[in-house]
Amino acid sequence: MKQPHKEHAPCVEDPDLFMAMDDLELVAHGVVEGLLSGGHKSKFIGFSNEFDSHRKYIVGDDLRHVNWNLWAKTDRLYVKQYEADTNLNLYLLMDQSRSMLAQNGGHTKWAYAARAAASLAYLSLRNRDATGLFLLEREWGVSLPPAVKGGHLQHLVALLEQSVVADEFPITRMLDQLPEMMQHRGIVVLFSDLMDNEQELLEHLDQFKQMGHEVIVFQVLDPYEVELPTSNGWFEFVGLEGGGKRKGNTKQLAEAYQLVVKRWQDRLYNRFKEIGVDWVKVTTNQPLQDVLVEYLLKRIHH
Amino acid sequence: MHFIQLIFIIGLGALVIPIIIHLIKSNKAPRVWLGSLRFLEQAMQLQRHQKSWREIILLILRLLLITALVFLFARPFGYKNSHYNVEQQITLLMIDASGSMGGNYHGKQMVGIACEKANAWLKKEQFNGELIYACFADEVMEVSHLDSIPRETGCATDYEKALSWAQNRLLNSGKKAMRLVLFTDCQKSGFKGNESMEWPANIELKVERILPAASVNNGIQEVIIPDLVKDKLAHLEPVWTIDSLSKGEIVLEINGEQQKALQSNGQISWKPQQAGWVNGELHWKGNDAYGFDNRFFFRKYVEEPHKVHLIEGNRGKSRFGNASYFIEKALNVEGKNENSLLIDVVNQLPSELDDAIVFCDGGHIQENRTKQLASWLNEGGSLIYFLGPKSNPKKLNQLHSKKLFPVKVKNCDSPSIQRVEQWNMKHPALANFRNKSGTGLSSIVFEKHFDFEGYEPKQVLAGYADGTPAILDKQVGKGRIVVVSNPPNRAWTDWSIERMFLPVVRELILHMTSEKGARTPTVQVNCQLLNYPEPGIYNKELVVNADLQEQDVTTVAADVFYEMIGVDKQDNINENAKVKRIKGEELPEEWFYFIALIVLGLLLIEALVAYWKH
Repeated sequence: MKQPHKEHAPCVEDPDLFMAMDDLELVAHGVVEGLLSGGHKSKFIGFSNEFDSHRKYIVGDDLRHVNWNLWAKTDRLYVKQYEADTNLNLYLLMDQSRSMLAQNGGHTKWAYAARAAASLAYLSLRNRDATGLFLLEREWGVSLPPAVKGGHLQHLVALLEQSVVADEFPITRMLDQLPEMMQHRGIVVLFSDLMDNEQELLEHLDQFKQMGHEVIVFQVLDPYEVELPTSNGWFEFVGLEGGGKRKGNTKQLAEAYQLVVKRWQDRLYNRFKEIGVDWVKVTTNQPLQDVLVEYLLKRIHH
Repeated sequence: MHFIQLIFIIGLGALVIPIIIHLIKSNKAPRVWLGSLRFLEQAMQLQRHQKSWREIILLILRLLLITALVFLFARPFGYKNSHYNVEQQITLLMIDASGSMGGNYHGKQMVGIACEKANAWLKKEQFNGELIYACFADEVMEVSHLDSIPRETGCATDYEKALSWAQNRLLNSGKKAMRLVLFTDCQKSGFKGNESMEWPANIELKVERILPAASVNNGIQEVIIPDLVKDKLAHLEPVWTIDSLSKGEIVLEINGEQQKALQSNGQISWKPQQAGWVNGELHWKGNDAYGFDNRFFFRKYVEEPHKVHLIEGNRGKSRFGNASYFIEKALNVEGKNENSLLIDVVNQLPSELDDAIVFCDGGHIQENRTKQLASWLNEGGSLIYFLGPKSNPKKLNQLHSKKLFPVKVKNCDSPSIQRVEQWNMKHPALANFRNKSGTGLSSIVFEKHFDFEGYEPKQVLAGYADGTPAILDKQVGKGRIVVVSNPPNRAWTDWSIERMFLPVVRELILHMTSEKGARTPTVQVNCQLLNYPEPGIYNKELVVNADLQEQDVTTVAADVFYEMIGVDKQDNINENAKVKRIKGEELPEEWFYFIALIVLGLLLIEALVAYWKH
């Protein structure tokens, strides 16, 4: 079967490069630094909002935020701090339902989502945004409230690395309990394949919007979930949620399948648009930077 | 439908290929993991109708394609149905009359069965063309009617000669619709081992197989009395006796054991120990100036010897003083308890296994045994009375009242010389003497005899000149009673030294002990006779079938038979005699092109359907 992720040569933006790495922190670092040091740098400089105060420079601070005028006057390095830096919270919601294990070729949707989430957390914490992580598991157990303290990233990454996706459950049940833990206004980022109950999911996301959160939904899909294998012939399709197996000839099914998926995504687009949720569809063969770009764009406009 | 290249029909087996592909191609499909199958199922619902129809159409197209290709290579053809006039039709019916057809099947000789089948076949066919009959063995003989086919079998089978004759006969007839119907047992040894024959395609051949008899008596057909006039003869069973010439050497080997000839007279006597098949070889070598050396092989089924209980009323001490001496001789017994033929004291009843009781010069039965004996008689037993000096008419009349004696008996006080002239030749016991001239039966003289009362004419087996009975035969229940009014005693008659004595007594015994209708008349076969005249009471004759080949009666199935004579059964059997079918003459070339066009059309359609989506 043709590998779906081999459309261009490996580079820093190649998801395969980062997907092959098990250390999520390293992945996050690589993805973010690669993004910011590359062609996207100018685009995302000064994404902060209003200036708030200064603080002493510490090693690792971005030199772009150093107030050179103040350095000239006082001979000391101060870094500009912005209002949003400390007030914005990033809530990462991770769908851990069984369907996230879908994998045809490269890696699972969960692996992709986990790396994307780690990268976002790295980026967010780098900008001193409090970042929280909520794993939508069968039983509510693991969550990491937003924070910017040192070691928070490692803690968050460790949680992601230790997470095991195995069960089949509705993520909407877990979303019921989240509002209590998301009192501070922020950005809610949901990584999911959205194969759950659409109506309930939208109601919850709408609730987040009503609470003043910005909501970004990254719909992570396997490439074959968007478009059936292009090679003609018979395939056995295994459903991870709901179980079951079906045999079908993609030669005959591809067109109809694409039509059905397109209807589904059109419906999602319209509903998300109605409630003001940003919906980003990504497939596991897309570069992880795409996720960051979407986030940063949202962050800038926040 | 018929094919020139029938072998290509095997190609139809390829039909399973598309079916297997259709069935298994979805079984070895690679897996695709999806989060949920709901979208796929929705897509399948959309595609269901289109998919199934397309697959089925493709399957049918491929099956048709293979079938058409097979037909293309097998090259079907049709026979031209040419109807000929009655004048142009000829049918030859050939009956196998060889030795192997001489066996009996459920009491009927196989040749007779073949003729019956031929008659039935003729009635079923109902055609009006010319009809010829012939029979064959190692020679062929054209006959005017089925009844003219000789039943005497014994000759070898030669199919090659028979079929060659049939071909010539039919081809020379000048007819156009020719057919041969062969009624035979498909005997394997009828093929001489030559290369397979070639049967002309323009003669239709039909073989009607006659099932082989359950037991075919090869070798020695029967020990018979071929001509009662010339020689004094007697049956040899259950003891086979072969007398050698005065000069010469004779060796009889039966079941691998050599039977030694007696030094005194060169006679060999072999008594079968049990019923069943025996294989034998008779080696006869003359040692005179014209010495010769002959070997005869034979196979014979030995029947269970009859168990006859002989009750002597006047057993003498010497050969000439013993009243039952000649009866013993006729029954092949030389003494007491020999070869299951029991000689016992007066009034001792037989065991239930006895086939017959012979009362010689007696007939005195104890009172308390009469009921038992009457019951045995009614169940199928047989009684033979040879009345003599010791027979008491009073006691015999008492037996008559108890239905153990067929008639009333008068006293026999004075001599009354009479000739036994009237023999009922229709009686089964005398069947072997029928139509035989000079048997000497009418020359038998009884110098003394008993007279009877209360008999019916039909019970008289033999009578005197005045019509009074000499020998009576009466059915009692399932059993039978025979009364001879004279003992074979030299004081009463010289019959016992006549040449017809032993044959008549022997036939009487066989008649009494045989089941009704089961005994088939002896059949004289066309065979070689070993005839050894011997001065004395009687001569013996051993009959050995002529052809060793007929001893192997292994048959083959009709299909194999067709192959052996070079005929493709499928192409030559035609139930309609009016139709002439000649293989390969009328190949419809247009069929070939037509099928080729179908193949091309199917290929095109299949390609269109298969790649329609692309």
